[in-house]
Amino acid sequence: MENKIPIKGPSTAYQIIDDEAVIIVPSEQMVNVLNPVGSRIWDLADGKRSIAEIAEILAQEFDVSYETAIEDAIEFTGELAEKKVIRFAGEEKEK
Amino acid sequence: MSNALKLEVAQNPICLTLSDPFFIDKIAESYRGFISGGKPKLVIQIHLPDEIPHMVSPRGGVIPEGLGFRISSINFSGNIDFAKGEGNLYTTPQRLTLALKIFLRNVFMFLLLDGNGLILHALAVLKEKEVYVFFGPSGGGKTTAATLSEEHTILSDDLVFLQPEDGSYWVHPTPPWGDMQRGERENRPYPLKAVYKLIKSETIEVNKCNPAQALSDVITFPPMPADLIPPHRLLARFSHLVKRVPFYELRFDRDHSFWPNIDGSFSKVGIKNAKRGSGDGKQDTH
Repeated sequence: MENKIPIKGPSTAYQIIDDEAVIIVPSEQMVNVLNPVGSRIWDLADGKRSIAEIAEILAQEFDVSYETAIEDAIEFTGELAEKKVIRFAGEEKEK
Repeated sequence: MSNALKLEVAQNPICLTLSDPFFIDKIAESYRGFISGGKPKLVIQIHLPDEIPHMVSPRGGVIPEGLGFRISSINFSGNIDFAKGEGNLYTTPQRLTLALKIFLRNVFMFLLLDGNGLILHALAVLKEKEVYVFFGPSGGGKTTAATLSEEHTILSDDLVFLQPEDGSYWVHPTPPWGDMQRGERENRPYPLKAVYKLIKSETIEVNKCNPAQALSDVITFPPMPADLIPPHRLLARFSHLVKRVPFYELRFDRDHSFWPNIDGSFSKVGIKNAKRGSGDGKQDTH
């Protein structure tokens, strides 16, 4: 799982306000507000970095252990993928 | 008698044409206050055939078509071509009022969004030349808030049309598309004072919202295909709104403290258990 590369969904739009990301998926009429850690993960989900690389950045920026960061990053990207807000490189594209 | 009528909403003039002047007079009566002399951006021909043609699908909906859309429901069908500046509405005489209401709502929504405007599903109250906007989920208290605003003008209780200008936001009156619109107003923009998220509660509180939460709460998806209103544009506009306009969460009860607590929100944000009931606008001192 940690080698997966998250990518923002093509039909999403987002704004980051005061370190909190607001993401919309108009086709689902869905709005998500992410806390600062979630917002940073979202920001780093650029289709180039793996979850492991994202976790390394989180560990440094939020002063937590790598183990905590990778656990959070895996869980969080999984939740976003379920909501179709992100997808993983190499997996079926969002319809 | 004429077979054409010019209307204007949110500074977007359009012209309706219909072969029977009787119906034009009827429409003019419903839309008095919104009759315009401006050069129309669109000319919409209204047709009253025996049978309404399906222009989308039997189930209805809105689909993009070139620089415009096709729209259909059980009561009407129609299309708009903004490039040509023309459109058509097909309905029956019995369904004309309802059909025109739904069709024009979509037309003016598109014109507003095609400019730099925004739409909220909300209640807009004009009080002392400024507008207070209230929104919330269905059953969240908009009707109650309108009832508690009897002394003021209800600009809209359905769709609120907003437009930024000179660093502020302005609210445009809309035709009587809702059930509770009342009071004197001119067909011109009024300055937006603040936006309130309504929450019915036994505890009275006015709290400033953080911008991200306000954005998440207030964003309204127009019933338009994403091809017509790109999501990033929609979100950027709402984001601009929440940064420029004060947003509050208003917990309120059905009593006369409603407006005094709103007035108090500008001097003292985060009023908990604010003055209840007397309606004199004073705050508790302890």
